[in-house]
Amino acid sequence: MYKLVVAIALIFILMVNAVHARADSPERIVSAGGSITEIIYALGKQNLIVATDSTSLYPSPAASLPKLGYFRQLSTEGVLSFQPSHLIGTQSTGPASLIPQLTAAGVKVDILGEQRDFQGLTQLIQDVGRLLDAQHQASLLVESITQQVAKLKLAQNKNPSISALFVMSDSERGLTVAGNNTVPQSLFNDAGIRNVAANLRDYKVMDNESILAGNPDLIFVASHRVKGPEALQSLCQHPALKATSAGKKCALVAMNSSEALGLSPRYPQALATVIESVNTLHVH
Amino acid sequence: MFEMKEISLNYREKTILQDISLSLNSGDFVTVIGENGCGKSTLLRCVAGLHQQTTGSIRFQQKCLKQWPIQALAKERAFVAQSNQVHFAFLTENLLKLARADQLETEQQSTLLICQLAEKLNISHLFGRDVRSLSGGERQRVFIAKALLQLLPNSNQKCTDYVYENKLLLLDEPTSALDFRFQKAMMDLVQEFCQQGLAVVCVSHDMNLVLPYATQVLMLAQGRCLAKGQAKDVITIANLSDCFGVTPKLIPQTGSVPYITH
Amino acid sequence: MYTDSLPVTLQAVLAQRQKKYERGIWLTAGLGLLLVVVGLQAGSVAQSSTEMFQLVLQKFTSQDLTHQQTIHWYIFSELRAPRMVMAIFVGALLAMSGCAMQGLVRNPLADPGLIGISAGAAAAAATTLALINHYPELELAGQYLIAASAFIGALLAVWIVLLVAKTPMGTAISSLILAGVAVNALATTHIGAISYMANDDALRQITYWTMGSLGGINWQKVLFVGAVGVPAIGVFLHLRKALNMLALGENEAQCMGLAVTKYKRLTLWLVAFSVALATALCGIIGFVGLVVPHIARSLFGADHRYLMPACGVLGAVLMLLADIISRALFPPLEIPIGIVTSAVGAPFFLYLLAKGKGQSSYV
Repeated sequence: MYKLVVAIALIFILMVNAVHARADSPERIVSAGGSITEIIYALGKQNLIVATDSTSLYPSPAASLPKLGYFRQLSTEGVLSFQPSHLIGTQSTGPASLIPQLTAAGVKVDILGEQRDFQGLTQLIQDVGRLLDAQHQASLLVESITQQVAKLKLAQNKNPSISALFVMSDSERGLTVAGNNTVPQSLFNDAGIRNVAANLRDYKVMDNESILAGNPDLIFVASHRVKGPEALQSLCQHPALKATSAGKKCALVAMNSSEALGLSPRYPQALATVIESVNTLHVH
Repeated sequence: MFEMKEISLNYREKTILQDISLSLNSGDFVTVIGENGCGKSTLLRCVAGLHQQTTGSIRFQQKCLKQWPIQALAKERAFVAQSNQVHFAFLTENLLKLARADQLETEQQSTLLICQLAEKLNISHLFGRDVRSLSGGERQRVFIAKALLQLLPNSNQKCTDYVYENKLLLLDEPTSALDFRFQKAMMDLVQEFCQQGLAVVCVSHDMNLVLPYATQVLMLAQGRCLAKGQAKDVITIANLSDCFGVTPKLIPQTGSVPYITH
Repeated sequence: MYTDSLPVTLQAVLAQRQKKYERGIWLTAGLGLLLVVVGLQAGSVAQSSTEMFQLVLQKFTSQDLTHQQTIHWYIFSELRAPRMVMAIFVGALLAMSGCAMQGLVRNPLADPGLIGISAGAAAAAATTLALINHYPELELAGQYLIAASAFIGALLAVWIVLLVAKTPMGTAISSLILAGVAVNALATTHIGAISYMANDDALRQITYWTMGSLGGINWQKVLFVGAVGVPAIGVFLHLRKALNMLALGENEAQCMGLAVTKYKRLTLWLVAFSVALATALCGIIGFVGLVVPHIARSLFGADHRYLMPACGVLGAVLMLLADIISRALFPPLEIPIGIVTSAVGAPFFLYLLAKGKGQSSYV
């Protein structure tokens, strides 16, 4: 009996040792979420990534990395098959059982806060930089994009009377638009314009009447919904948009979905698109 | 042994049965006759304990019927319904085995009883066949065999030697699907069991077939007892025309109940 | 006319049939064991038998494992083993529930979902998922909260159905089915309303939940299901005689000495409990409860004495198979197991229906 207890204790100690021994091995990262993958690329640490989720498509080399499925529904064994040392993800990485299982298998799981604005973006970049031992690159990147954003803000004509709407997807029944607590909302704030759907939270379907009542001057459309200028024209004829100020002039702007829907180091580019569109509106 | 006193049954403010009394002793064969929808089957279901009467009392073996535990009652009275639906592919022998499922006996003993009874009812050639594929008459015989098996206690005796004292068999149209040969054979067989003490209540429209076997006839009309007693007393032109609304002809037969015809 | 040889012959036939069915059940169980061995090797991380054997040997002799071996051992013992055991339990419970349900309503097209169990579970789980999404402080207990609410939702749905279907003469099967349809519709509406109000995150989670998965299974959950599932399987086996009698109709069953009302209620609650348990932990896994009893009936006949245990082992085997497919088909992705069972089950069911047209020998 005594021997058995000792044997079990020994096995346990050996297991614990084995877990500890792993920390020294070179880093192999699974990146879950498009923003994080893009930041890792921007920090020049892409060679550490062994696999990503299905939303990690930018920059283009990231699209050819092994894909583990949607980041909310990753398979534990699928992740483990790449023998990662780290998994970096956001709060919505799941399912719920994934994280304890990965931790138990000795994978270090880092969950970063879900961010929706520029402030959060700089925080995210610094967090990723710290995790990858790339603090220097991170601060350089943050400095660079902060400067770009500041310059853009300076160049804009502040005009809070202008209202805008971001359309993620459209159907005859209504439009799915970006409400509060979204990246488009943050872009609108930084561009100094008002979001018509600010009283909605997250991405929601807004009915045609409310859109007409909100009467946006400018409408942004996620680029994955509109392929070609004809599509943009036909969207102007959407029953909800036709009668709005934006619809009458067909002031519709397609925005790169991956820039506008998620936070990425391309935030300044997205902001530039928004501000430019506002300025164009003034000229007319 | 079986005593039913003035039972009535109402369902949704409609009177189905009213003031019906019936008393049975071992070996009795009661035939219930009456027009369609007069409450014959309902009466039988009351006797079986499937329906609860509204008023009146039913006593079976000196005990109130509703106080009988279901499992114990099943060994004392059996019921052969008018239509026998089997919803899955049961084999004949499996169905018969089911009647012995509550008995404490070995497989060999129950098999022996099943075979003896099956020979008697001429259904042993149906072993191995899906009950649903049997003809109506074959199925009716199988179900009667099942009911009789249910009443047999576990013993090593042959089923034919057994005394059915105090047991009650309820038959609802037992011969409706049987052919000319088996109608008679079935009634003779039931009578044989009656002689061993089995009490039978039989609902039938085939009066000419059943009445000669009856020790007692109960004539129902609109839920009431129109006449009760020995066949020769009940089967009169007056009663029959009261019951069925048409006047039949009676052809007297020596030593038996008159033959009823239009 | 009477021949003494008949009982002997019949007894021999019966004994032979019993032996055949018992052998069939053991054979199926053996197949299940084989699948467990296969399943322990299948998945995103390739593990050969020799590698696995060596791993077990090393573990047993408490030798030091390399880094990679430790991960392999973890995958083997903490990810694959518990989900295989869970697949066995869930498959057996769902298939036996289907068998009991079909026996009870005397219709081979019945499914446990008929009385609103799965829909009730899904509605409750969707509500909880949306609530967790809205109040992130609930996230900590999230998994257990979802399972508990799904379980309660399933039982609540059945309770409503039974309440509506209750008549002075006992529970009528026809009103049971109609009430089930109504409760199903109600639950679907509820899910629709939740989905409409929920944000993108919650919507995704609700969708994934309803697809069913064995992904999040750990030993703790297996132990829990084992502790309550084994007695449930025992009660299912106890129901065999009652279901046989019920196959002849309720009146007939009562006349043969079955307390019909009691057994009907027992069967319904047992089915509700088992399906609720499986659904709460694994989400909705369709078609097992419908198709497995069909296959079992065509192989083992309609007698519940053999049919019920056959459904148990066959359900476990099919669930193991579905789990292996879900893991091994597109690594490193994992297809939700509910999709696998429906994708395999629905066409197979259509095939059975087409084949059985005109001759319904297997039901």
